[in-house]
Amino acid sequence: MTPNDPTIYITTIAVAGLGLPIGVALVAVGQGWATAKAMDAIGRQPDAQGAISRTLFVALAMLESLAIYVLVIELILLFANPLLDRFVH
Amino acid sequence: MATGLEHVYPRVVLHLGPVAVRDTVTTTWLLMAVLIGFGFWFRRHLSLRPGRLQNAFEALVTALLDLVAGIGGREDRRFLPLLLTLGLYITLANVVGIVPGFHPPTRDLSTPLALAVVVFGAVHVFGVRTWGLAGYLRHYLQPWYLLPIRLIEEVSRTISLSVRLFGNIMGETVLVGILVLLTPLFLPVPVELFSLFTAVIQAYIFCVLALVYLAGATQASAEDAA
Repeated sequence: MTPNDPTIYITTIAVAGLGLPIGVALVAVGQGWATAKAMDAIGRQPDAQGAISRTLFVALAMLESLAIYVLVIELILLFANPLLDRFVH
Repeated sequence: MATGLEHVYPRVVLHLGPVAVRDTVTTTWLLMAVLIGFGFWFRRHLSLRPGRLQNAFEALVTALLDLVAGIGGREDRRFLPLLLTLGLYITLANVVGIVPGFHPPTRDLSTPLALAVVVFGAVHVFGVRTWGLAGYLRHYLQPWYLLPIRLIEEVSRTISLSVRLFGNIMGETVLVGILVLLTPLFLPVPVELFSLFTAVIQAYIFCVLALVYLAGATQASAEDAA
């Protein structure tokens, strides 16, 4: 690989751009599913709304952290790639 | 870096000897001063016939006690100071971005990480205080084969707690910054309003998760001991 070969930048940006939608879409499906189930449960037992929504919040936070992991890895890839100096001299 | 997005990264604003102090820290100092000053002022104005403000805070404390009872199983007032401090500080830190000239300190990973480390320490302190050192350490061995997973979980949940807050606030800051670059006048306003919602929700989530971890350390061993 020649010095200042743009391949590494193109690859990084392509991976970051294609990876974020995949990671986020799956988390979105999971969050929507969890919320729908919680709504079902509240509809069936309105008395338990407090407990259900508390649990839902905690579960959503857990799911959301997966999407945030994707975001953080993207940020590292794009702005603070530790392997970059092996490719660019 | 495109012009107009520099504020996403914390800036170094002053040097104390060899230590470079970033605007995250100075904003945090200001928020601490505001919170502590408000606390002292508020304590001197407490009365038996609560005014509007005191009513609001009493409702907040009651709601938090209900939350503790709901998650922890019983009313535990020991967690209240820590949780309320975390909640008030994180809420204030997340929404301080709407004041011109200030940017949320939580957009720097150091701030949420420090808060998460505080929670990490508090979990063990409360756990040891409740069960004694031996009793607390024993709950790691309850099914002994889960020990490695328990230990990994201790680290990973601290990281996820901090990274969640950081990622949300950083993401909002970047989003609003980019929208301001694209359409300066109208579009950022509703997004900024939505970011207020995110800010409060994230503070709530942080507190609830801290509470879940604290309750796990002080109660899970109760089931084992029983």
